[in-house]
Amino acid sequence: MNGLNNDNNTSSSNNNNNNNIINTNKKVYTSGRPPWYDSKGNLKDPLVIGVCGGSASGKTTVCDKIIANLNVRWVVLLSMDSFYLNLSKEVDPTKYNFDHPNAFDYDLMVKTIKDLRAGKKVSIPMYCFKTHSRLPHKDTVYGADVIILEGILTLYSKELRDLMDIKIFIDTDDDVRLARRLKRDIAERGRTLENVLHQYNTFVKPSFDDYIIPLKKYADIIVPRGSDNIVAINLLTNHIRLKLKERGFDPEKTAGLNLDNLEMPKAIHVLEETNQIKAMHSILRNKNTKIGDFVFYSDRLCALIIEEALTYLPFTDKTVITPTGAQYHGMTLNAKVCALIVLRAGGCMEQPLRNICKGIPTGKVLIQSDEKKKPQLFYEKLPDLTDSHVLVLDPTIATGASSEMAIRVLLDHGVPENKIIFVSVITSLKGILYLSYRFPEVNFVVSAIDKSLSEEGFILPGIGNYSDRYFGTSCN
Amino acid sequence: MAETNNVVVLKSSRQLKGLFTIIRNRDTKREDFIFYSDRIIRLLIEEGLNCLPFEETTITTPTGAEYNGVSFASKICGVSIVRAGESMEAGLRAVCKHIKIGKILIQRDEETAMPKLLYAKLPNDIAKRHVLLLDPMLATGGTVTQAIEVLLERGVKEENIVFINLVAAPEGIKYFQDRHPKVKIVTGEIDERLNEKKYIMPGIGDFGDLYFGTNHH
Repeated sequence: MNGLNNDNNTSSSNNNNNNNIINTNKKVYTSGRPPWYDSKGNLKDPLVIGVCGGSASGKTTVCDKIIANLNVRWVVLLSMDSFYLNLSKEVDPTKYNFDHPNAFDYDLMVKTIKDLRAGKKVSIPMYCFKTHSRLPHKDTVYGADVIILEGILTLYSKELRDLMDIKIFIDTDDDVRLARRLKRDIAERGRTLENVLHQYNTFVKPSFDDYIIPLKKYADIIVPRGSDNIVAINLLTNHIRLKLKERGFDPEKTAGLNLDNLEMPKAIHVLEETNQIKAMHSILRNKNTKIGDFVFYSDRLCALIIEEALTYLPFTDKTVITPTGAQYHGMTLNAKVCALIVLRAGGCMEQPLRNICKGIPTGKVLIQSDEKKKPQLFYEKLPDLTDSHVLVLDPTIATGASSEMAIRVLLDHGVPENKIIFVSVITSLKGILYLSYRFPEVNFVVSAIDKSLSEEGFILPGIGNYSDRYFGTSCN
Repeated sequence: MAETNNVVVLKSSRQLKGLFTIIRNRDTKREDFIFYSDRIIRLLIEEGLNCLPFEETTITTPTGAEYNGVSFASKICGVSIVRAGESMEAGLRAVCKHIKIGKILIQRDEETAMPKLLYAKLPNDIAKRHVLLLDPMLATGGTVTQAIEVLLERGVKEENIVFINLVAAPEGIKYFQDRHPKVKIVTGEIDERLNEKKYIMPGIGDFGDLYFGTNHH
């Protein structure tokens, strides 16, 4: 099982932080309602693709190429290998046919795909090829836009086939497959030529002829030559894109945005760049600014940004009598408001928030990138969000990956998009456009949008690592 | 009242309107009056600082990239008109940590009904500084005009003064600008008019009394 993610999802505040996490094996995922929504807040149906083909036909490579071409953020690639049944102790593994349909747990595969389609969290067994049994540990997968199941017999079960939107058969020449298998098993797995050929002739070849080849008739598309067939892979990618679009995913709006042609969405609000704001930026962005000044000017700037953000809360007309006896036609805030602080950097905005919104209920989430640069939710503690507007505080948005997860946590807890106001100091153009096109009804209030994003995920010219500078934890 | 180059009104928003609705309401408790007034004052001070001269500067960010920014190009000080103007000092200090603050006390002469200077204590080098002059209400403009004259006598240049207030009456702005056109006025809201008692309508009432809790009539 691979949780694949094609963007370099890391933000400046997330870099180098993995070593700070003590309890890395406990990943907290959003519970309850699944977080996969379309722009209207409705649950989207993920696309399920089955990829079938003989051993060493290049299934995984084809999948990887499609995923790379597709450039969709949330793809889950499942391998049938994870679903082997436990081999009982009495059976000699060398005499067991691992290429036979009976070797697989189809019930679990069906349940897993069904749960993933419903947006539920699933546990994928980890199969150990040494003991030929499942490990006690399971891998957790939480929904996706695209789910790919690959394996030699993925099209064997009718129940499983019925769950698939696209069925692909990889048809690679038998000689090529045998050559690959010999090379792989001898060079990488240290087996003898005799041993490999024996297994091939006894199990692999007969199973292929008896069970795998007949599955071709169920495939929607047959890809000859496997991963070398670039034309077929491109055609498949385009077809998958089309299918995704039909069900409300717009790849153009989720990733790979062409920034040149995009209009600035109306939900993005940038503080007017007065000299005063610019002077504060000149101090905050200066690498020579010391922590005392950094904190002082950060608090000052954040106070202005938060005041501006409050403008996007609902107000209703209210007439009051002044001490002079005259009427004043004013307005009053007409909403319950909470805050969500995206740790660690969001904590830099907490004091200015409290100076303005006395006693505001404040939730916290800790989001860090894992080794695949995919954001993970490590901690969440939320106030009662019922009927509440939520100010999300995070001073920098680089790629937007962790911000996206923070917004998803709120959607997951029933906060509608149009009740979320995301408050930030400096964002990259790419990051904020990505988020705004992804969540069009979320309001963004920021004090500057910087043009570039470095390959390491730093905003340029940027401000460096905001929380390191605010909390004084930078190496310098 | 048309906004001229030298009158800056805070950008109107529902948020700002909400703050003014609280402080103008005669039923608002004093602690809320102070809290919400302080929030408006802070916005006014930030806006006032924006009226001061800046010069371009290029700095290097921790990413190694250059940022073309600006920096303050002048020395400043605050001057509050006692007593109500002092309510704005906390907001000024919150934004300008080490700022020097002078005081001017002007009271209405019982006999002539004209404002009369009773006390002025200002930084020695005030002539070289830009001055943020603080008084929360601009009603007739009589008091502040007198305060400006004190500053001019001490050698402050008229164009180096920014007068910051929360609420202004159109009559007061006109009276003031006729006499000191080069002074910048930064205000939160411009009200309808002055009434026959020279109160701003709808106004706020006596800001100093409300802020300092001396309205025990």
